[in-house]
Amino acid sequence: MNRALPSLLLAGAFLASAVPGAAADAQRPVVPEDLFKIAYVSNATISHDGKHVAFIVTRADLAKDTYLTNIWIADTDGARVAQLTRGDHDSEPAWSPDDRTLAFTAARGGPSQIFAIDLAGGEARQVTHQSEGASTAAWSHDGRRIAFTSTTTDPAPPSHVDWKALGVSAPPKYAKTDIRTIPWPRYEANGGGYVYNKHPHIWTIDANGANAKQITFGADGESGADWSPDDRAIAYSTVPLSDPEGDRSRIFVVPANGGKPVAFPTAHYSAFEQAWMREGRGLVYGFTSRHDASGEFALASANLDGTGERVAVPENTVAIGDAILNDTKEGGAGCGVLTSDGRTFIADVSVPGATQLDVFDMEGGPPTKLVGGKGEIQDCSVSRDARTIAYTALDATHLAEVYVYDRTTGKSHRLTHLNDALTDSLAIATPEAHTVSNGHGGTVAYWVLRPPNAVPGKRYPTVLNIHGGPQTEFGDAFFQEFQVLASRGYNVVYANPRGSVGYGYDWEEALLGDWGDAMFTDEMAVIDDVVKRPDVDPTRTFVTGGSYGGYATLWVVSHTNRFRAAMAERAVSDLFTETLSADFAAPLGFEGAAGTPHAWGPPLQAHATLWEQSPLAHVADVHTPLLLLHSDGDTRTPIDETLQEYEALKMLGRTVELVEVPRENHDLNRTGEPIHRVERLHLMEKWLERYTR
Amino acid sequence: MKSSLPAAALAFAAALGVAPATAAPPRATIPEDLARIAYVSSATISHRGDRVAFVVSRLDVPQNRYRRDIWVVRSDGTGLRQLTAGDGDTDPQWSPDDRAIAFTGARGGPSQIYRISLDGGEARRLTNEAHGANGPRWSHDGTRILYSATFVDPKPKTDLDENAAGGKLDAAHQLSDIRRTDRLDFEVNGAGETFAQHTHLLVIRADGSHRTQLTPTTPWSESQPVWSYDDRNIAFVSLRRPTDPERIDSDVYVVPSGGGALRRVATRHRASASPVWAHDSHNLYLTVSSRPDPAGLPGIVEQGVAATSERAVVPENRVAFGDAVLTDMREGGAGCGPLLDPRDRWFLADVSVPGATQLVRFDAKSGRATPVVARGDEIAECSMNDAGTRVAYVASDATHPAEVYVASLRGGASREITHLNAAYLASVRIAPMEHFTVRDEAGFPVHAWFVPAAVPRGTRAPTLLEIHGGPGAEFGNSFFHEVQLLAGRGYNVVLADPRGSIGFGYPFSAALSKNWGDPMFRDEMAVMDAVVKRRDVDSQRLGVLGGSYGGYATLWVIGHTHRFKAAVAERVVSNMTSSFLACDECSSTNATYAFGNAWDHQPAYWAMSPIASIANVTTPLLLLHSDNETRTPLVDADQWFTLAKALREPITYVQVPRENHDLNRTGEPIHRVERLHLILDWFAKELP
Repeated sequence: MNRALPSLLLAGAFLASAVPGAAADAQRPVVPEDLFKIAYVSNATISHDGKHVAFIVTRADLAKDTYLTNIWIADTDGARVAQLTRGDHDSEPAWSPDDRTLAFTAARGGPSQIFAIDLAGGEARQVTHQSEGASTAAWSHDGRRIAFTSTTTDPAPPSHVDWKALGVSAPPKYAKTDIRTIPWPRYEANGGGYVYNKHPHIWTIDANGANAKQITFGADGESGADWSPDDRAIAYSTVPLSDPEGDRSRIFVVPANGGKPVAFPTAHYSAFEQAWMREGRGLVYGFTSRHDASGEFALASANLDGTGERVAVPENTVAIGDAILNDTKEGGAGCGVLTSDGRTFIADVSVPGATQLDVFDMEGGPPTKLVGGKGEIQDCSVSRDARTIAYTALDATHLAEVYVYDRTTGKSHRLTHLNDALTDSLAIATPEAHTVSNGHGGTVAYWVLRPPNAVPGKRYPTVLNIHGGPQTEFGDAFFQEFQVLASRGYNVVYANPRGSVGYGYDWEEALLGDWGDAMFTDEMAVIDDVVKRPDVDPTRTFVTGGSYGGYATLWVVSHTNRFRAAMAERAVSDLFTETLSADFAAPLGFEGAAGTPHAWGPPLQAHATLWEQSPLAHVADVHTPLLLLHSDGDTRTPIDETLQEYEALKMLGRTVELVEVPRENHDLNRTGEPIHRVERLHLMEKWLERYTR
Repeated sequence: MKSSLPAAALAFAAALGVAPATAAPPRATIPEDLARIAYVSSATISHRGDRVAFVVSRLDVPQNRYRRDIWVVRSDGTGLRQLTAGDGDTDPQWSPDDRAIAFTGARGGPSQIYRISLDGGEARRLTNEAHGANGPRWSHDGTRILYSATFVDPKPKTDLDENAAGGKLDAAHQLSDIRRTDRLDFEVNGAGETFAQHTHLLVIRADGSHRTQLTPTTPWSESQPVWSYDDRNIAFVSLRRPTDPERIDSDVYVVPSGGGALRRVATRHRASASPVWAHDSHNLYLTVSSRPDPAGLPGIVEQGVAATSERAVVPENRVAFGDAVLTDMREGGAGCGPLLDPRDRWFLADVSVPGATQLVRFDAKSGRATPVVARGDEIAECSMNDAGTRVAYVASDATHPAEVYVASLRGGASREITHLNAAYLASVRIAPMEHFTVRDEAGFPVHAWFVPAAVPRGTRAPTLLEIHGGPGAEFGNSFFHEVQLLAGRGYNVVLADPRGSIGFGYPFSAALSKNWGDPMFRDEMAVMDAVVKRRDVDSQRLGVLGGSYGGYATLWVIGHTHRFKAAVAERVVSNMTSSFLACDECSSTNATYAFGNAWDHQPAYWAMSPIASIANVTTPLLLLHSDNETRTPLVDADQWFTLAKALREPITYVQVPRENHDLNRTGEPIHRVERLHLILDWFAKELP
């Protein structure tokens, strides 16, 4: 389930178009272990002068079963690509205003801290020394200060034991209680453990490491610190965890030297991701007018007193952000930046099967496409003169690399080639794009990834993969899992049924309140189309998916026996329990608030509908052999969801197996321990193979 | 109810060096008193009947651990001494010559079998099982000891091709930690994920040599092993039907004690358990169940090992064998028997009756029952000497924690032979339990107890209704620290046995089989209607609390009446669907027998779920749940909390880490003490 707030992050960018293919001789199949050979490139961060790009390279390390993350630098003229840091846990590069120093976040023994490294040479120096760690450096415009985030953890209360009554003094080990008093429903965060007692606050520090000062306080948490042009104030946003609406963000402005925060007045349901307008007279921000999981936020600007709002992008018109799924993320990233003249906004936008960089006029009007429409742009950043945009991009047959787009020439060029040697050695399958009518007036986009060395005339077993979210999309992005299956002799079919992002608000909205049937209709239209192909063996088809895709897999096998076997990962089996027990559980329910046309409504009133749309209600109709995989630390879709389906199927005597992966959260297949990720792929391969023969 | 403390006990306490209780006036009990109580269990009489070995457990709160050791006392109460000092010692078993005791010792590392001589010297370890051994049982000739050991399936190799990965797996990553199962019974409360753990039977010589594994290493486990009197065979219980979704369907098997093929004892019943050998070593007495009925009471049959014919001794659904009385004092205690007389004429068993348990003698032919020890208290465990003339047992009543008793089966009286809690009892004020009954709308008498608050006479005190778990259990005449604590703080406490409770006949227990909540609610309210008429009850200050089914009941109650001004619900079931399908014993609780399955009968499941009525709640609620629960998973507390917040109901939600379903019975000592403070603080705040 993808619940990240739509984000418009850093600087602007442009899309990579086709990257040249590789030579075809002596290529070997893609295998799960290629995870250890891929350089995962991300966070392209251009210097203000547009001459350099800092970026992150992540590699999986087998012996340590962990990821090594370091910062690299590429010159935009292509002269140099070099590794800058070697701390192995370095991220979030941020250029100083004079481009001489790079601040970054690093965990170098103990919690992460802000470090700074001089581009002229020498090792990094530690800037912050926060006992609970620091991250997300943001330079003041004068380059003298850095704002960062440090989390305050509520102290544990003293033990409730009356030690005196026992005739002893409190043993130091047990002086504090470990019993948790939970203040509100969203007390955990996927991958972040218990968050109810943790409050990320904004601090400032002099660039030389002196005068660390806490700027925001309180029972909530703040993010998105942005310095005003005169460096006298900092804007930020906060989502009060205690708010029963659950997802309502507010913007505040606080004096940069500390003081009382002032709320940015807005009538909107939720406002977030603020950036200062030129001369500091107002803010640019996103807003939504209601609780709507499939809504696309608006982009607007207004004066600091809330007057003079101008909507640059109306709500539910453009899907700002990168909603494409790949092996490293579940969409939700992307980029968005206000150019320094304050007139335009450059952002990553999700379109059918791809993302692109668009320029928006803050006065309104239709956006202009800069680059893209093919492949996936994951992130972007814009030089001070707004002429040069750095971004990382990938497509179905190429791993992410760093690109630079020059607005003067209108051309992109690639700066890095960290994966060329690998991809040249691999037999990578190329997807075919198709569409099919869903019989309900809609057209469903889908892809078929054929085995790379498919023998003409031979029919292959075929795997239908259903994506999670559901507010994401499949698209033109390298997906190792798909390549592995194709290499093993499967056609891999993946589609963007109703509920997917990138096909317009109505398409996304069409799933709400009808979570199972609309998806099922669309996915079955796809598979009906696919089994007509001469290279598909219609008697050996499989279905799989994770999260919402796990829900969808359960729903599919509850409504058809056409698949030989299925694998559902981190599934939702019961919408009522999921709605109320997930880490993003909002008391109003995650689809339930007023105003959304097809919403289920509050869970208590909607129980019968929620049950009817739950796979568990139809469990007796499942006859497809099923593998259920769930991480035991998943709080997004708690493991109880899988246990309910598993136990019901066992009681029915069906063929079902349960796999629990320890220590992992909802993102096992994206950011899980590398060995677990490889094992998961082998497990999937072998489960399919058992039913392929 | 027993008379108050005998003077002899005080003298005894003084002799033990305990400070004389007369030094200070008695005070109210406090949560920390959990550490002052000696928890007495496992009374095991010697073969000759002249001595009793038993276990004393204590909470060491500063170290946050339990200390359990084996003590011995003569049957006349003299010669009390602590025998072992391993602090993790349980299950004492006398050698046939009564000169040694075998026991299970957890002394760092997994538990092992030890033996200790009664003539002096420290215990010696007999086993070295990698994953632990327990439950020693001597052969009748004293030459061998049977025990159970845990076997853990080897983890599969990490599924990764090092060549393809271009590196080497670290030593710590050679084996996969991904868990995979196709079993329904893959996890068990407190034991974690058990699908890879299996218990098998082994035999060693009494000196620890010649280890022989009797039952093969399979995915199935064996339990309740018993030697035949000729030492040639061992009967045991096992559940080896992989395809049967009804998990309670265990069978009795027999295996030769020197090793050999397993033979199932072919009963015609759905499930059989608790084998007891007749002295001819050919026949077995078994408990049997014919239906997967959660309220069902097993019967007893006599059956030849090789024969398919059986002789019914006690019919099903007639007698509630075992100890169903619920308190916070016990670590398990499962009752006792059948104990067969040396000439097979009768057997003795612990039986649950209204508000108490009894030792009952059953004629082995006719099944006719004669109570032998029936003092209206709780008998948790018992054992009998070889001659069948004397029993040792552990008993407790409302004002006395458990102690060891010995009774003559030849008409003599019972005698309390330990007084380990005498000094403690003399130092605190203990409230009595006043028994009363009301008649419910179905015509059943509902048994209940009123525990008066420690307040000045004539004062109307706030009053708490405590609802028991199970629901197949009962409150009764047994010491309950939590209840004493609440009474001592000025609350009257009401305990009732509503429909669904055990000990009141099968129809009473089975009354919840169509609706889990409503009959309980009506009975509890009938009890409260009577209680509020008392002059010492403040009907404007009522509270309600309970755990497990009692947590379900508490949520049900506050969703159906506003008469309570504060509630504490622990380890709740709030949503019947999620709770019954995500729990570790979903099918063994056989909810489907009573309610049908959740997918075909969803409206009924929903109607029985307290969360369906949450919008009616106005009572401030303390919701308390352990985060390592598999019996009533945390998901039920989360659901309730999220909705209660949405409805802006007054609620405090507390999670206790690392604990399972038994926090209030076997949880970490510090957590147990803290839990009681949380409950006291809650009522102090909400029922001022």
